[in-house]
Amino acid sequence: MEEDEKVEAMLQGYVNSQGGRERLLTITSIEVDGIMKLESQGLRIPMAQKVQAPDKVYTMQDFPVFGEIRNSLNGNQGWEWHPIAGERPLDYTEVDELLDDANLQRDLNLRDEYSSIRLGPPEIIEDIQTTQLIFTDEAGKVEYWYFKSNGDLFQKIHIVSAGPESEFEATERYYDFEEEEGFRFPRKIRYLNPAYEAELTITELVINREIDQCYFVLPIYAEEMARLAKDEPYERSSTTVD
Amino acid sequence: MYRKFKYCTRTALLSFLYIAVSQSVSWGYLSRQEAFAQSFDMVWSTVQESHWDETFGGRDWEAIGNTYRPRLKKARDRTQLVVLLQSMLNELELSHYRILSNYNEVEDNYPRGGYTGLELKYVEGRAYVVRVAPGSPAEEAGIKVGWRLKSIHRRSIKSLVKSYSRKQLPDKIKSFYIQRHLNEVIQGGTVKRIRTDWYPPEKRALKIYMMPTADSRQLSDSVGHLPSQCIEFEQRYLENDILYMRFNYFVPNLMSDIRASIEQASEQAQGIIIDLRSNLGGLTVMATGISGLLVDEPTNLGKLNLKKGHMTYQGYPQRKRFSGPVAVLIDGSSASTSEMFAAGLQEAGRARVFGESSLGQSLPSLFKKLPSGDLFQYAVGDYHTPEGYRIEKNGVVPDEVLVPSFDQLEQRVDLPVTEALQWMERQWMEDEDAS
Repeated sequence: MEEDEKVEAMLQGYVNSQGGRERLLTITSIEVDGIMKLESQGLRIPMAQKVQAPDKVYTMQDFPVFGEIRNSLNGNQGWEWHPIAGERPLDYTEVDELLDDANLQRDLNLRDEYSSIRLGPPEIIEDIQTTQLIFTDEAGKVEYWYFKSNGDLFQKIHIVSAGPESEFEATERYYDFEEEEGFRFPRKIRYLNPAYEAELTITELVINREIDQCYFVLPIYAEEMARLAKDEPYERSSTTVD
Repeated sequence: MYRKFKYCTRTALLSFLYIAVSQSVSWGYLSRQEAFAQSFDMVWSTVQESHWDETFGGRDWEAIGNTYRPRLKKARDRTQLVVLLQSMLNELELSHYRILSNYNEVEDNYPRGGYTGLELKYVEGRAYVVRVAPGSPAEEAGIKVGWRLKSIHRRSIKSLVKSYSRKQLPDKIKSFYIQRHLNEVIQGGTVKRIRTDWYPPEKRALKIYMMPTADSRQLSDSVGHLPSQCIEFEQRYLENDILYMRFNYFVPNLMSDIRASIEQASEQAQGIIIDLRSNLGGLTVMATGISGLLVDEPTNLGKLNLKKGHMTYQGYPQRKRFSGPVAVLIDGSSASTSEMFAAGLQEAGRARVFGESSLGQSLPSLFKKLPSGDLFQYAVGDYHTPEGYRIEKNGVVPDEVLVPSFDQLEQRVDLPVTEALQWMERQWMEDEDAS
């Protein structure tokens, strides 16, 4: 089989492992509750995320001592509330990443999202035989995805945005797959970054429930903040709230 | 589809990076060789995996591990294990690689001892009182700011300094350790009575006994394995409506007080003096949070180089913020997050820094609990100012370097505060001229 055909087969297998193209096309929103554990740091952080296709995301993390850290994307602007650091607009790379997250059909169009997808060498990770795809985007950023024989994505190594002008390499591994209303997803995700490991356990997942739009609105201060942050004309968001 | 949560981990990293210099050490005992071996491996491999510089500053970390691992067999108790691990980490010659053996898993994990309410400043072989807490045993005993300490429990300052002279340390670090040592001992520890001998200005030498009380200062909340600290916050208005603010740690418990003070200052103060002398640091996110209350535009406070990536510290202007002149005071005991805050605002031109060069220990770090029960603090990145100045080992150099003389300390002249006030007056005059 030619490399391109093998890549296509792996991408197809990945879609099928999640429930298939037809099922993914029907998903318009996902709500997740979970617990993020940073075992080595002694931290346990309840979190929730709400994603509404095609372009809205809300995330909340309830940090010990600090309180809730929240961020949202309303379609064109992203925002963060931090009990200590205060409020800030998300920068372009963060917004881009959230837009990727909000695109619930992204896995169906990976060929359009990357300028090249090629086969990498197979690897054994945690005693699991994996096959590898190497994704390169238009900016030249490279991601390494490792698949199990049944099509499940097992590991992904990529660069994540870490705030303004910040990025670091992160590895994610996916475990304990379960099916919910025809959609297969991992209950456990392990994160390894340059400083520590974290583990997210998904406690609840709800598909296609109508999400209250208040989660995605920006504060009134967003307008002033955007003006302070950049000189270019400010595009008013559709909805604001104090 | 299920790749949605990467944002959470970066928030965690940004929020919990901690840089502070540890306060004190006390020993516990454990004799489980397996736990010791696991602890050794955890310390070695954590450094191996998380150190940002793959050359380890030109050191062979693998070889260092191989040198120290055989010595593990000789570690008979937890004290010896801690010494062994710390010795191995010291080979890196960097701050924020520490084994903290005073941690225990009870709600209040700070080793609380006595409290006299005194703060001493060590300068070239002498120790002077720079602060006496109101209502404290020291105040009741009649001790005043400006007094020079001759001895504690009959041990002279001279003899203490001599004991440190044998240590192979830079003078700045040595002075910091001596000052820290004095400030720990002067609190009394577990003793019921402290004998102190003093040279009050223009008086005969005095012998004073103090009865330390239990340390009832507020404790910061521990966050995960991040230990609690005794915290202090002070604010008052000086002449010409200048807000003077002092706090000893960058911890979330103090954020509401700090925020309220600066927000109030935005309505009524002509300037703010932030006193970070003897501030040992804390959570780095506090530095960006406080900066956001002082800047009118997003302000870069510096960059953290990680093993595979980097992070930028940025202060974002908050709704209520102070726009007038800001002075930051530092000294040789200002460390870590204090240094990051001072250097970042200094380089951005938002604050003028007064005092002495800071300690030069500013590597953001995290904490792990070891199987031995001890805590391991490890650096995860190297902090530089936006223009690339490295604080580690170099320290922050104030705009106005002010080293107090013996006379000024005796006469209770707080030189950095005095100079900061004069600078602010000049600022207003220049502003008036300009307008």
